[in-house]
Amino acid sequence: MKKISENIFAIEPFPALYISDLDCTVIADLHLGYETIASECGVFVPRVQFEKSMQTMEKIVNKKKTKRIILLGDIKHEFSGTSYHEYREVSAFLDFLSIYFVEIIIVKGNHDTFIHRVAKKYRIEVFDTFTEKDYLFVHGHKDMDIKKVREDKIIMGHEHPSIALFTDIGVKEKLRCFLYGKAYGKEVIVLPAFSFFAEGSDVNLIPKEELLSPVLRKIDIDSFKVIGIIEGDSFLEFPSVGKLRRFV
Amino acid sequence: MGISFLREPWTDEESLSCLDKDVREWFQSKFKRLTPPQKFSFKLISMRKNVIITAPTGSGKTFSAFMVILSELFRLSKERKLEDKVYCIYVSPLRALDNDIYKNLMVPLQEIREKLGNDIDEIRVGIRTGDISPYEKQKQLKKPPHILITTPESLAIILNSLKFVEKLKDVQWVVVDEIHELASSKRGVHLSLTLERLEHLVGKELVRIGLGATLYPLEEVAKYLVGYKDGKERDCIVVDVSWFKPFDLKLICPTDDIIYTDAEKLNSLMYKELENIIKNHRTTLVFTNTRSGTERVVYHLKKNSKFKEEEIAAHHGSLSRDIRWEVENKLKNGKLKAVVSSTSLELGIDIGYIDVVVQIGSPKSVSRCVQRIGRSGHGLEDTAKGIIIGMDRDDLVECGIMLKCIRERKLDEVYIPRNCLDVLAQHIVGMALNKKWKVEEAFSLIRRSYCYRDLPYHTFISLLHYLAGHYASLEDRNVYGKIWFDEDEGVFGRRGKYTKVIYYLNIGTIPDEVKVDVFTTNPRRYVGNIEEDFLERLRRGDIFVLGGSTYEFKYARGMRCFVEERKEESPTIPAWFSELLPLSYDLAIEIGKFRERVEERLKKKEGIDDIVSELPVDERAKKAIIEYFEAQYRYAKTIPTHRKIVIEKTMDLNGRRVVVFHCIFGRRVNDALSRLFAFVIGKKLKTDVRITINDNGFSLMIPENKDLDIDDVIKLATEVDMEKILRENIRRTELMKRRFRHCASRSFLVLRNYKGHKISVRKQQIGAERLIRVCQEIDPSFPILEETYREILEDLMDIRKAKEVIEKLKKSQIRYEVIETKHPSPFAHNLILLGDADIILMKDRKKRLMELHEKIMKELT
Repeated sequence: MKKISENIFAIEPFPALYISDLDCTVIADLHLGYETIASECGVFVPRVQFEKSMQTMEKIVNKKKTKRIILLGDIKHEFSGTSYHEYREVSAFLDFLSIYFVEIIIVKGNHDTFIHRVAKKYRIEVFDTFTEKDYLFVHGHKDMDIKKVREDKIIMGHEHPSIALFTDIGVKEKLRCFLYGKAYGKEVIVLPAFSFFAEGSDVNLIPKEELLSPVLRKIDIDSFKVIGIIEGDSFLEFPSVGKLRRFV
Repeated sequence: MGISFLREPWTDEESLSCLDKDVREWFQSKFKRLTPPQKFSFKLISMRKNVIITAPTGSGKTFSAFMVILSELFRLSKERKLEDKVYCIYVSPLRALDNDIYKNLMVPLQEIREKLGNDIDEIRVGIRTGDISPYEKQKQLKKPPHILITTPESLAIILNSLKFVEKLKDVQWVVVDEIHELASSKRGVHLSLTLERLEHLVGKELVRIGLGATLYPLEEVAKYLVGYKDGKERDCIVVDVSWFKPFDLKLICPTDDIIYTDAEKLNSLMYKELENIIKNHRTTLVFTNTRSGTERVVYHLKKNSKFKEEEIAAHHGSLSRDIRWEVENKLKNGKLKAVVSSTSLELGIDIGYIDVVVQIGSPKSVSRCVQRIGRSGHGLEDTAKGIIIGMDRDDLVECGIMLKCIRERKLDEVYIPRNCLDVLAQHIVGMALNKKWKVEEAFSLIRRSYCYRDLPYHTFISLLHYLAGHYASLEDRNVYGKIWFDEDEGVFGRRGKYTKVIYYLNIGTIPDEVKVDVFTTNPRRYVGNIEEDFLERLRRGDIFVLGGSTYEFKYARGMRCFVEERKEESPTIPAWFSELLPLSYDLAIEIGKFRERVEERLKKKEGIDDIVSELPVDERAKKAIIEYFEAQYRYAKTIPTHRKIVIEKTMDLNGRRVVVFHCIFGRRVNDALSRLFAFVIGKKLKTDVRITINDNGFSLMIPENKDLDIDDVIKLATEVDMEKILRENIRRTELMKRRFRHCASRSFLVLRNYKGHKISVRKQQIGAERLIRVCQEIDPSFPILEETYREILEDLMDIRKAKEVIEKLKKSQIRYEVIETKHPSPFAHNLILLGDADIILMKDRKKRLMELHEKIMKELT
């Protein structure tokens, strides 16, 4: 496990955080049901994500068992209504999580309309923002004034951060990554997307104004440190987004 | 019997005797005698032979195919035996051509009927393309045309039109026009399967008639037309009368001194020549190699010449159909002094009388050159007159040899794609909509097409699995499956209520074309747009010109491309690169052979005047070519040929180290070779290698501090698995993503139209990026991935020939020679400066060329 800060660790090599003083695991942006929506649009992506998500989750639990898990938004993919498949996949995934975790906490993302319907069945509470001790958990799609946040640590998702690296023959490698650093005296940690289909923002390529999250657009993420994920293998650490920018 | 050539024609009497009396009389009242193709075709078609006829424009090709068919139809009509069904299908790649043919057929049909006092049943001709209305289609169903004129796509759709297909059950003749154009593309592959399906439907052998301009090798195209039966090609008789028309060919050089004439001067001299030619002829057809070139020439002629604006026109693919149609009409009516075109007027649309064709810069292939020049001298015995204006020294050599090849009737080989899985996928869906198929039955039908004659059985089965949605879970197959397939029983058939709609709305092989918006990264600024296929060719770090400024390519995101302005850098890739036709392999080899002869002479310190005089070039061009060869030999002491690759270690104008590979095998081969060598060198030096490529070779830029042992590089290159390396090299490129999207859309994995929505290209593209990942995981040899690799390696590049080159290198049948030069040798100049500008407007590039030349000359004296 890679220590990010006091009590906060990234579970190598997965897109998940372990927070020791809360005894919880955090993951973000699952986008379950992606394939159904795609196939309704005439893009016939085979359904592979659910299976992969469960496998990854199992591995994470094997590495670090916690009492609680926080799902940091965009559990499902469809914006409006819930498709049958999505409902089933989300239910099945929550069923699955219930085996391993005593408590499941859902923080709502922009894709999570109607998530409460499913959550209710499991008596899981859905929060817009969730706070405990000096932690603030948000999805990250809504703007907020960081200076006015009472908690010291902000954990968020939404951005699907990734970095682009180029091999010597010009082939682009894209790694999902964690971003972390300080902004207005607060610690900010951005989780990579858990979803297999997440097309990340290449944070070292695109200018700041292009970032998805209005929260990140306002802070200097060039100073943020980067932990890239080599899928199924290990982490790859980089000193800062800014330096990676120059490297490209 | 298979494919055979017929060289002896019949007499006119013999030929005419196979026509119905009234048809014959009409024909004789119109024409004094038969044209060369007709002397063959009348008899052959009346004997119900499959034929392929190649003949130049103006040789009565249409009637050579149709006269006998009309005669048979009149005979039936007179006997009151003409039924309400389709007897003959005519397919051409262009709607405009369809309309021409319609008009051409109406003349004899009306006149002969009138002659007979309108006392017989009317012979109907109908057009069926994407343009016609549902009402029109209904009418055709009630009263089917006896001769159906259509396009490959519409014909394929007809095969699944339950009612109309009934009218096709007794088709006897199929005429395929412009077969040279079709055979070399996926459209043609698609058509080859359509024809086999049609024949299967009809249940008896069709008479197939292929018409085309000059092409080679005719045996292969004949096989393409007729296909195979029980593993053996069907019979077909080849009639080649493409050469009876005399050619008057000339290459001119607009200046005495092609190196030291600056760009502006060169352009104005070129325009002067062009204006003279136009002035001295009635109607001139000018070909440029790019659309932008066409626009510029037209602009110049309209503004800066003595001609009236309305006497000059442009004609190219980006213009709307209406404008093109108007230009064609003006041409037919003799209202234009000159028309300028990129490729669109190559095909046989009727454009009336043209007395001379001017080509600015090299058309890059002998066959294309013949075809373009063949557009002139419309009358049967008229000489086809062609003038090429060479714009630089490579151009002069290339065009000189090209014209020599035409004189010697050496054409380059047509390339026909094989085993395209995406096209096949489409047809399987279409077939499944028709009926339930035994796998074996369908497989043998497919293998009757020339393009699938050696399709492996397991590949076919894997495609069936894909189409049946077997890559998805059982419960999802209703969504993913386009067909139903039971492997144990060995049968497949239609599935799902949407499939038919999906099929109709998404059929075809031509991908949606899109423009890609270009932005600077910081500050974010829109700078213009580029063609998608240009983006395809961009590699990170490539520098290109857009709207007069130079930009470095950074990255692409969906349909947007991000760049940084680079004021000081010279471009590595010209903006017209993707549009520019690649030099053909065969012509490249001819150039190689010529160079070999030249080198032999120079080695013996003999002059080359007489060899160069063999080329049909003017004095200035001749002088320039001789100087070019001599300078190269004096400076480099060697001349690269098709049997000798010269590898030159040198510096570019900015003092950076480059290795130039002079290899004359055509650009598609160079494309593959350059990637192979870049990989090998990159791996050896553990560094980034920038590639620049053109028709005469490629150059690799390497860092200062690294030393490179070429012998080692060659050895490595001959040992590695080229296909594997190229696949790895392209896997994560933009090229791969986009081509995958095209293949995925052709094989209905990503739809362009679905449930009434048009799916934007942008959405298709995002889907494609993710899809590649998923497909790779499901099966590394997923059919659509395989097809994407195949298309890139075989159709876009030429991996087969590239492998041959490497093999020959290994066996020392091709040698290599390493030289080190202070400045790039003359043959490398165009490559080093590639991309600086367009061929017609090239100020800076020209200046740089002059500088380079001067440096070398200083060193030599």
